Amino acid sequence: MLTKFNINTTRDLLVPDFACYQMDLMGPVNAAIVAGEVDEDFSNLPSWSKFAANPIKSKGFYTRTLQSMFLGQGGHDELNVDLQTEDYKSQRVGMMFMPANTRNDVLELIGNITRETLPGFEVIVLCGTVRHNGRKITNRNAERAVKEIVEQGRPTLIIAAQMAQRSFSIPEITELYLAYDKGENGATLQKMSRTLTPGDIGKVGRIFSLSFDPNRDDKFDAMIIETAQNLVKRGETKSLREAMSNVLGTMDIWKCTPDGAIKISSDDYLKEALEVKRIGRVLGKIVNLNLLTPAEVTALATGNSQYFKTNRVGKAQMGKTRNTQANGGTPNHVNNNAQKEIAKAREVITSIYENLDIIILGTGSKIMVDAFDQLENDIDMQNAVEEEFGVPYSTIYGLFERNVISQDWVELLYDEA
Amino acid sequence: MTEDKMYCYLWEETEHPGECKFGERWVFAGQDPQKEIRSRIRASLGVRKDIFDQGGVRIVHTWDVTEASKQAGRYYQRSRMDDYLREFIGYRKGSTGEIHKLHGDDMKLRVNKLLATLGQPLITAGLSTMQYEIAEEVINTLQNTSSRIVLAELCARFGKTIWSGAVAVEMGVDIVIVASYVKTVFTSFATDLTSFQQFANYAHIDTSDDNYQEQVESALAEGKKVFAYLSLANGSKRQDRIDYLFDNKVEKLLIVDEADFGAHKKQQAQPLVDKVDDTVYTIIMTGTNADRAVAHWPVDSMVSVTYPELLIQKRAVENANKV
Repeated sequence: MLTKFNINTTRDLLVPDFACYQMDLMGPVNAAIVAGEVDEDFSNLPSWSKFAANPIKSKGFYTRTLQSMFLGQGGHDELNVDLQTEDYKSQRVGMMFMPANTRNDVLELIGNITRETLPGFEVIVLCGTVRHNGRKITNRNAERAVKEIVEQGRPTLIIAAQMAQRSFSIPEITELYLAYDKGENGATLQKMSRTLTPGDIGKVGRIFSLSFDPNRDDKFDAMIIETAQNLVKRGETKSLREAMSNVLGTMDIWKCTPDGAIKISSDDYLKEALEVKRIGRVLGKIVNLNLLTPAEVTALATGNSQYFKTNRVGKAQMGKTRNTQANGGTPNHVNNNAQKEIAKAREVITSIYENLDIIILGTGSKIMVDAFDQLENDIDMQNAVEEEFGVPYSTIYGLFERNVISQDWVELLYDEA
Repeated sequence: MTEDKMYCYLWEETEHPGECKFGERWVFAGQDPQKEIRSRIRASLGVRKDIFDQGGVRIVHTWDVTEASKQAGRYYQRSRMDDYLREFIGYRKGSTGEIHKLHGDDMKLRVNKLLATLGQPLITAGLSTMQYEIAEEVINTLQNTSSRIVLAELCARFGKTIWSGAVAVEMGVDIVIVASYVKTVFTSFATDLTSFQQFANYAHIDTSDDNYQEQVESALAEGKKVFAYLSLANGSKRQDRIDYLFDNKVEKLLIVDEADFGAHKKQQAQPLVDKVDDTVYTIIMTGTNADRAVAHWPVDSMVSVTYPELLIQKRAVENANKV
């Protein structure tokens, strides 16, 4: 118990609500293809990264998308923001994040196309080559520049890629558009937070994932899963399934349809996420790598097949948060390739999560300990696992010993499969 | 409010940062201080009330200075308590003006410090439920387990600054070292924390000041505790500052803020990692990218709060209020 601070529950009420919207962009994409407004490459497999590489080649798709979203034109009501949110504002202030690797000159070009398409809007592009009132826009002055524009009272669309992801607080931003295909989980959270600056009483920050394949879009998943993990860890719920239901009961996820937004139930969400193995992918992204020593991360990333075999963890240690200096020699990931190794290690773990049903179904056991007991004595099965997973059985078992692969998640994945 | 109160207020024009107006308002019992102050500021703009109406005025802070005014013999209407205080602050525009040539946040910090010196009780800081619970968890981890380094991945709107300050106060360490690569962090800490009573006995010292060592020693000699702000930008004096702050037997709390931004690189993190010993508790604080934040730290414990958790708590309070 703290002795000098008390709880003030009015502070709990200060955080703005938020709602997440899944928008399917294929309507305007198909219309642009039929009209011959996009190039063949984009037509075959549309993506934001292709758009950001050369917006002129797929300009038709982008202008149709903007017109549908903000002007209600083109007959794609599934993108009509007013219809989906049922909240018409005279001054809309939105922010749109393009792919992080969009070049500044391209971002300016996207800004110009946006201005032409939305003449009633103030469009400001946040990147180092743009000037506002004679000053180059920087991370330091971006907030001020946008405030000056917002104060004019007109609908405003802020377009950014790298800039203004953090320390950028504009209370008037109520709509946040994620116009990229996939990104680092942390960066996505930072971007989403730009609409969570407290503003008017009752403010709802609305976050739109603009996706070419909503079923595989996992931008909201990491937040949900991490929250569920925390609830279980704090003992606030008994199972991950219950925790995920609690989370989804608090943050609304809407699927945008021509008839308006439909709230996705926790059951539907889980079913869909599991069917396309989205959850396995997200688990790999957010798994706590601090459970591993630097040497273990390196072994995982470099495919050191012997490491986990020769470094078994005692059963008494299983599931504990580990001292990362132990068992690894050097203090954490000190070499310059640390970030690459972490990314590679996450890829390996993702692959294991995605294929875990092979072990579960192959051994006919829902309990991982039992499954591993069977595998321990079955060399053929171990070889089959290695072939499917691309890593030795000992590595998978090592990750289980270290609680990187947890029974909780296995139960959720298996029970829902 | 059952008695008349003396308030001071500070505002600045958003178009003219670097200058701010410090004034006073006598608030009668039963009146709403914030409403009265807003009304006073607006009225003071004369024919340019449009600046206020169009959001061109930022009210930086208001203070209840009733106790200080009583001690100064100025507990009455139009006592010029503001002038009394501004004499200590300085930086006046002209010799008699009420405008100070300071940024609003800088002025706020100076007034906070002055009022603490004058014995004016400040506002008591309260914590949100999540802040409170996570503070308990982290303090317990640091004080009652073998873990000395905690990673705190705390989402937007959690309120990291006041939270980490509260942890420092509750732990009672003599020196709190706030290290960051992002310099605005230091202003945030100093201006936020000095507004609250629980931090009244703390000196806030920028280690980029030439005489920072003298300031630290003088504060400790006076029985105060210290928040020392350490920039991780790799200047020629950085290592000297680190050596001074860490090479002593005093119990310390190191808070690395925005740990995933600049501070995550080896050349920034390693000099601090090298100083971690039995006298140092460490909180690595970040909003996102925890992997990156602790890439060079031997972290052995972690807390995490996501935004939906704040909303779950909000719903719980809303439901309780309905009952």
